Amino acid sequence: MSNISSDVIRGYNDTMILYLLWEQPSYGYEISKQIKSLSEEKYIIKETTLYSAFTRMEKNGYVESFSSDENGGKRRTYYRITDAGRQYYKEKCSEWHLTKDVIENFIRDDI
Amino acid sequence: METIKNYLENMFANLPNTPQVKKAKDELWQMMEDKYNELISEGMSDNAAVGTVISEFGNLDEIADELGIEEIVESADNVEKREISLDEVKEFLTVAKKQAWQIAIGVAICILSIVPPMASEAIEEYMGKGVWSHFSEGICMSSMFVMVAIAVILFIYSSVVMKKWEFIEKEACSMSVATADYVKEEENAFIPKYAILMSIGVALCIISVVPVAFMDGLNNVIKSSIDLEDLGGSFMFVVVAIGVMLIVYAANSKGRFEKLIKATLRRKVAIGGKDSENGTNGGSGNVYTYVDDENDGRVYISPAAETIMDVYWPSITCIYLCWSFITFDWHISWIIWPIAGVLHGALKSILMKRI
Repeated sequence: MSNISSDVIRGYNDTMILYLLWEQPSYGYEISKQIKSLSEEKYIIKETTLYSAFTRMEKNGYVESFSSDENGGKRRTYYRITDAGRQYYKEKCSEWHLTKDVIENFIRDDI
Repeated sequence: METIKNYLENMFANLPNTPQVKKAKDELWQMMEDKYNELISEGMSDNAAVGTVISEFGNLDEIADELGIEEIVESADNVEKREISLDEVKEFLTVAKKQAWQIAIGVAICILSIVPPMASEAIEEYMGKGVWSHFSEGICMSSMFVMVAIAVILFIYSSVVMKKWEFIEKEACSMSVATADYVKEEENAFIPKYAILMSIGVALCIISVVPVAFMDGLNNVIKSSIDLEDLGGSFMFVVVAIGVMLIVYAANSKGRFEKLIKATLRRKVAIGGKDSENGTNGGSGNVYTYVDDENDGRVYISPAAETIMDVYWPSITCIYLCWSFITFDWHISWIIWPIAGVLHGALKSILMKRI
């Protein structure tokens, strides 16, 4: 099986992150771990990609960051989804349905 | 773990030391550390874990926007910052350390210079009124002046040597992340030394009265022909001199790290319009001044105002020491500090303006 090209998936990194933040705030490594396991290890997000997505979404007001101490005493930056972020996520979901429907028409399984 | 840290350091080594870059580096490090720890706890070998973390790191190009690198290239303020290299930082710290000792020793000698005249009377009494007494006073007085002269030479020499590094205190500078980290590490390494030097220095100043009290008591007991109290006074100044020397060295040494950090926080700001007609400033452009961020964008209203603020704390210190040593009113002379602090704030608001 071929790898996912980063060009294709780039537009949906935000969607994946917002999906994982929907229920509760989380931090960098936790999110990258969940992306890996939910995608059945088919997609591993790079640290720089993840950081880039966090800062971009924070700038756009989709997530908020705050630092918090773990029980072990380690200080981590956590991210929390905002109302604007939830709105954006819904838009991305309907965009994806549309994209999928469109592209599906051009995919041949018989070759 | 060291390998990953070094990898990240190298990736960031040539980037400017800005808040965005620092934040990115810290957060990427958090993620890499988490991933490494988890891989190790899953039983992966150290080599394999390091390999995985580094291969999944990605590419810094991806976060160029977030790092604000373009912003830095475009902004004229930052382009004109003077870069301080790691070698320069090392040289500056070495020179500044020497200078801190020169100043501290100079101050100590100044305090010690009062000892020969004080001791002269005691010596005189001990030797009796003989041929010696004709010379002793002269010798003691001259040695006082020689000591002051030596101290002055030390002060002047050290300030001439530091001239080369004046830009660190005046201009807007920048450092690479690696260099800034080096400064931080050196500063952290110095903090325990600072605490020890300061405590010993202050302790010596406090216990300096012990010789006086002791000699006074001894004087009453043995009814010596020599005035031991004078000798006790001399001892006091010796102890005070050593204490003050340690305090001055410690404070000055801590300052050298702060100077470097402050230099990178300074900004260059245009204060005048184009003045090509009257030909000042090379006739080509704007008049610039440097703004320290701690003054939140304010500058002095005139060079005279800046001079006043420059000599403010040294003058207060001088007044404090003169007052205390002349009248020995140490119990109340400390009041000068809170007053000076309030006055400093007031003067600053009068003598500075926003641009």
